Amino acid sequence: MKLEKYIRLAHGSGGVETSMILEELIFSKVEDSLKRVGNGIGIDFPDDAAAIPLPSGDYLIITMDAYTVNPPFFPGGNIGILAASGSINDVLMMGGKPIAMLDSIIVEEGFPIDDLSKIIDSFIDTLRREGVALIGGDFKVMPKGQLDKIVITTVGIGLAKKPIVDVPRVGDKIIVSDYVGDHGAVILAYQLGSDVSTELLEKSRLKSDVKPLTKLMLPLIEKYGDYIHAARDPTRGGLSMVLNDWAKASNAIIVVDESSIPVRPEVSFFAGMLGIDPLYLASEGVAVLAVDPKVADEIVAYMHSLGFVNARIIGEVRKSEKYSGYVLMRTVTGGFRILEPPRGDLVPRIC
Amino acid sequence: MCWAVPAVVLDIDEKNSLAYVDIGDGIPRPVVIGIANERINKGDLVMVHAGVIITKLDLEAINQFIEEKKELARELALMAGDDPEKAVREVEEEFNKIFEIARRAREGEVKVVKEIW
Amino acid sequence: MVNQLINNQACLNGVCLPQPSIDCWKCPVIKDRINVAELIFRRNIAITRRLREYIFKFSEILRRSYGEDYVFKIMDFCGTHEWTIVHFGIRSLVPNNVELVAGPGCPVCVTPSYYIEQAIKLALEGVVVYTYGDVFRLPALKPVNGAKSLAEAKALGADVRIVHSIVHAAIDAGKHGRDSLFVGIGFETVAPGYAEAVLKNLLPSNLKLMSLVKLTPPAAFYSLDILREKPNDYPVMGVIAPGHVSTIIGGKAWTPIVENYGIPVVVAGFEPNDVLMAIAEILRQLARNDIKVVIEYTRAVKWEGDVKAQSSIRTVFETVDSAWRGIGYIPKSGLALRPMFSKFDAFEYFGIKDLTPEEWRYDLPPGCKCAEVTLGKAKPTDCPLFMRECTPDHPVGPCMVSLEGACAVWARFGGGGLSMEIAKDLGLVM
Repeated sequence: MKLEKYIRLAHGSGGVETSMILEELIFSKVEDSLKRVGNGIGIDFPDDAAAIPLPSGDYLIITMDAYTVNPPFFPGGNIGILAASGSINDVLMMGGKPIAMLDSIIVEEGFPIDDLSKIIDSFIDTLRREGVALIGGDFKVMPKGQLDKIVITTVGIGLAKKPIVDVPRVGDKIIVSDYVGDHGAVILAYQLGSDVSTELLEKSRLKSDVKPLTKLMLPLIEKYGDYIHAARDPTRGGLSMVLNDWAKASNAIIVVDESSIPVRPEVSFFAGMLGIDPLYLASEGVAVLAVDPKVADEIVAYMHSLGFVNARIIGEVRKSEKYSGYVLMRTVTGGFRILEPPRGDLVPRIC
Repeated sequence: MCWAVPAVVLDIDEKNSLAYVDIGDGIPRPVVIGIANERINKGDLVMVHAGVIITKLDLEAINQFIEEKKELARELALMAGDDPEKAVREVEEEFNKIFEIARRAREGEVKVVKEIW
Repeated sequence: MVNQLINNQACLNGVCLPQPSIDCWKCPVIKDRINVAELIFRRNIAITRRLREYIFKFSEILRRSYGEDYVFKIMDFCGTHEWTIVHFGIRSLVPNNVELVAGPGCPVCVTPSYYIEQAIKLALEGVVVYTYGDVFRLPALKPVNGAKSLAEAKALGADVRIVHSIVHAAIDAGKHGRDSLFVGIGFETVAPGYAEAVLKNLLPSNLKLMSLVKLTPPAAFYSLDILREKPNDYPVMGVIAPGHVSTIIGGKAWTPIVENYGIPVVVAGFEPNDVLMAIAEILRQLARNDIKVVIEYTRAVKWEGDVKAQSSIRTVFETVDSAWRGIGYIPKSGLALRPMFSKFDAFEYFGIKDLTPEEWRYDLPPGCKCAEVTLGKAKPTDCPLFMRECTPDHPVGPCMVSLEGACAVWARFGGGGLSMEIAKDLGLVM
């Protein structure tokens, strides 16, 4: 595949274009032996975080993410909570217990210090609540116009007895912990909302779901760790990207039932107006799991008891003789369609 | 061709053929009234295509849909030599069940919606 | 002229909408009312099952009179119908002697390359270009100053803004006052919106409209004519007419199909049960030899359409011969601003020469079968480029670009074929 001449926004939207450009520009140029440490996990496998084997037999879990969101404040949170939760969740989804974090903050000249302080307060509050240490970081300012307000990069560090490497097995049930697409919907509403005043946007029923998933994942890993064959938070690219990655990793077909996927009506209406599938919208406080079918119902019940009352089974991994790597959706009408991985920008259509 | 979604009219500026609508996400959005202004009132359910109100949804017309389905059932039964009245009754019962579920859902019963969703 | 958000109000060309007075922001009734239609027409398996039963029974009756192998081709003109059909897997719900074919109802697919090239050129010259998401990635036949699409022009620094309506563009353009272009694609459905915006003077003086509006019935008749000339194949035996276009032009606009081609027409809505109901009705008409135009989408469409909308369209626009990408000129199939509204006209203001029949050149890339696909003559899988050179990542032809282009829809959702094959292989369907 030939590279295009210029970077487009779609290259960074977490879908097919992102995977392709990463493969072309980076992964293909690194020797296999340098793609991970020992028998750990690195860029050789698409997962939430890297795992480095420690002499003790445990694994060090490391993840890094740059957070850039426009607007930096949105209903349900801000870029500070997002930057803390995002990397905490990535550690958790890898089966790790988050212990420490580093941050790198780059701000645009002229950014209100009040706003910055609010952002950093929520960032630190989140770390405090989760008992995660802030052990280092960086702070830079860029000249006005050379950066869109603020970018926060965080490194999440954790420890795992056994990392959850996302390879769902045939027969596994797919579970989602909550409504999907909430975060993506509210951000998109703001980005496309130049016809509506901020005051009116704030009246929206849309609200980001950004939150750390520690209270869900740590007990789950503790109790059912051996039965969880894959765990991912459906951020950029949405639920669709996770399921498609897993279908490929497991060399099977993932069959999901459209009517059992939880989407809030307001998210569905908003996505409907734009003609966008809510399954491509990001969540920032949702876990998707592939679990052993024997304990699937038990796990869902346990998730309910942990306060995640919307958790439910949405599908399963099936073996096909002829096909693999597809996500097959049983639609609300009982028909079938293939759920494709996200491509291109999420843009509204009129037709 | 023409993607459109239902929305509720929140407010109308008749002089300028503009209105605010809510498509269900709680954000009031300005749209152009493309059709006769007299057809549109506050609280109406309309269809919006690319920021243009193209029609008012007439929920009474759902009854017509039901009538047509009854007619279809009757005709099929006649052709197949079955009892046409029984076929019509079956269709009626089907819709009554849906309306009953819709009614209970509106009264706050969350579980019933699952029965048909 | 003051064009800005004054006191947080939405203002269009100095006209400011008051804050909506309704105080019930979180009113549950709003969600409820929107849900009713969904309840009956979408997420209602009982009705779906019953409609399928009708469709299978009628198709059996037809099989007996037309023969075992006869395929009943039903054409949907509207890209959104095609979307419904694929998105909800309707093809997997109908019997094998019923074939659903897509028609010319994708404004993006049929907008000539020439206009996209003009928009790219203006964008790169510093004009702010407003477009719907559909047009954003649409490739022109040849690159203009290094950009083959508005998306590429944006990557090169042009100010291309994606909007979801002309009101959205008007409000936004009013805020900056720079020369702006609105790429006004669409069909009769959006035309009254453009017309009202012009009549009520809602567009700020810096925003100019490039009217690329196309008319549906002429294209529908044109493709039915073309399909008639293809004797080896089964003829189109029924038409699912576009519901939203019909809210404006009325169910009556489709009577020529019954008169001239003698086949059933059902004006249908866009929920899966609407489409299934339309298929059932078409088969019923064929079985009973009772051919007519029927409005299934009664909750939205009237026989006469909306007379006021029709008249405002006539006031603002004149009907012109119009070029369809890859197809050529179809008489009386487009709308151009009348000279008295030239102050809104992008062609006038930016000095863009309009395309003429003499200058129009075949504007599809070599090998691309988009025109045939658009006219229902070929399926996406019949095209030699489909999923080889031409993919959603690297679209070659317009049918792969628009989300509702038949090729893009088939590529994304596996058409009717692949999803069914997999479902069968897994034993999910018989």
